[in-house]
Amino acid sequence: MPARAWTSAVAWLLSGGLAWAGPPETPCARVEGPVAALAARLGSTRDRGAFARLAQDAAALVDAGTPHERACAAYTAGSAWFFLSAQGADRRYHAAAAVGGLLRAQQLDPEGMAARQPVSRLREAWLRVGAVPGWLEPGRDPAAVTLPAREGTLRLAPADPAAWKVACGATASCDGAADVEVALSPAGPIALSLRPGQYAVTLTTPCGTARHTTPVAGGTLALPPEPACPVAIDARDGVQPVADVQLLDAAGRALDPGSLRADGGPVTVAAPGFEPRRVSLPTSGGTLEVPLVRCAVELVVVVARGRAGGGRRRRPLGPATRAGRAAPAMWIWTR
Amino acid sequence: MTRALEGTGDQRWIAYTGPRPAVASAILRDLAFAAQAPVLPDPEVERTWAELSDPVRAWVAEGIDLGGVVPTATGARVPFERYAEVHAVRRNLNGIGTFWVAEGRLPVVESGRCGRLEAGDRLFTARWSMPGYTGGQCSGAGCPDRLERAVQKARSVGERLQVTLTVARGGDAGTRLDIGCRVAP
Repeated sequence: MPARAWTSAVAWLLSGGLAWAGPPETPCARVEGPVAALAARLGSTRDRGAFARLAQDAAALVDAGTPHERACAAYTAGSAWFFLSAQGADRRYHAAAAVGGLLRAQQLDPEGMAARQPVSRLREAWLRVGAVPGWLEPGRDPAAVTLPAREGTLRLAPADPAAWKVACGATASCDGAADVEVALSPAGPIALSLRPGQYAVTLTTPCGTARHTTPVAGGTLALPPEPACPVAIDARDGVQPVADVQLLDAAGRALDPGSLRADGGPVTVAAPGFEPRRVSLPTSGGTLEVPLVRCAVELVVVVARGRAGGGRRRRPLGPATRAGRAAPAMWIWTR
Repeated sequence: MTRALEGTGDQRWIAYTGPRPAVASAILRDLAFAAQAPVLPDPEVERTWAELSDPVRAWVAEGIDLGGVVPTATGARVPFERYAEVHAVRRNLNGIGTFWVAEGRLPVVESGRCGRLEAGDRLFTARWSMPGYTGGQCSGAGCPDRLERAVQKARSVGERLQVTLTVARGGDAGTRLDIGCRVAP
């Protein structure tokens, strides 16, 4: 390589190329614009009153922009709460709010959140939340927890919200303050730093919501059983919907049409004038179209002679009934 | 200028012989930095002394107690036990400066990297803060140690440390100045 090329390579490294080659120092390191301006304001202020306003301003930007901008907004909001948690009567409340923001940033920008400052802020914020009976074990550092790849939203909350509320200061603002909501990704697992303890985990999918309480101590998070998808029955006579449809379970009991779930057993669809039909519900949920077949009709023509009603009944007309079936029949009386 | 070990038992001393300024300078250096009674010039002591700036040499000299040093016709002699005293030590605080510290004395700046801090400034107090963490303050001889721990803490958590130093310029009774700086992690 000529000397000139070496010189320009060194100049490039010194002018910032080297800095970009390494991991960012915070999720805001590569962000510009309004979110970066908020982060800069947070870095320059000492005013505790400004921290709460900055946290709220930043939180309002978390759902807009590029993933890096959103991560920076979440990091700025979490950091502002973290600064507030350094002292004061509400420090546990503020620390929980900081954890929420910083975990959100971790979800959006795992690389940026792996640097020393974000890792330290998240760890310290978790420790300031303290030990909470029924939720967080005392004095444990956060552990890496993997959320499986899939669709849906996960809400992580204290297993004992009442104990958290007491620890937080028993104010109304404590309700839900320690809850963390994470949008899961089918593209890959998400790693979060969670304090070991007991968590209430609520999984929301397009099919519904499932909740369970589980211990967390690192590793893969145990999700609640998949919520079964709702199923609707659309009984049809050709292209026409059928009225007065009744749904029956295997024991013949009537079912509420709004309560059908994909994990339910086979269902019998019945309607007056139609053959009942037994169907299995689709595992993916949705609307199941069930074509019903009209009952066979037996026509009996009776020719009446003499006084009215005194006629003689004749054999039924119409299609033959199937053996063993008590098919309804129409009797026609003739005079 | 020569040194010689004289006396016996508990009554031993180092006798310095030579021109008076050379003897005074050697005694000063030895009492300030020699780890033990020096029969021969200690190259480490000589190098340390040579590297000091004038204001720091003045600070070192102010701290030397010449009690027990006996002038003689050819120079002076210094009792053995005087060399066992605790010496000043250097403290390098990243991003703030290098200080010389001695028990019971205001630390002195050897070289400053914090704002307008200058060599020879005497450190009265220091205050520091770090966003999101508890700050601190210190005064006197223990200050550089505490400040060093704060700098290390700030580095370990990746935070910027805001430091305010109150110093005296022109000796312990000199002009007081507040000097601020931010120390990057």
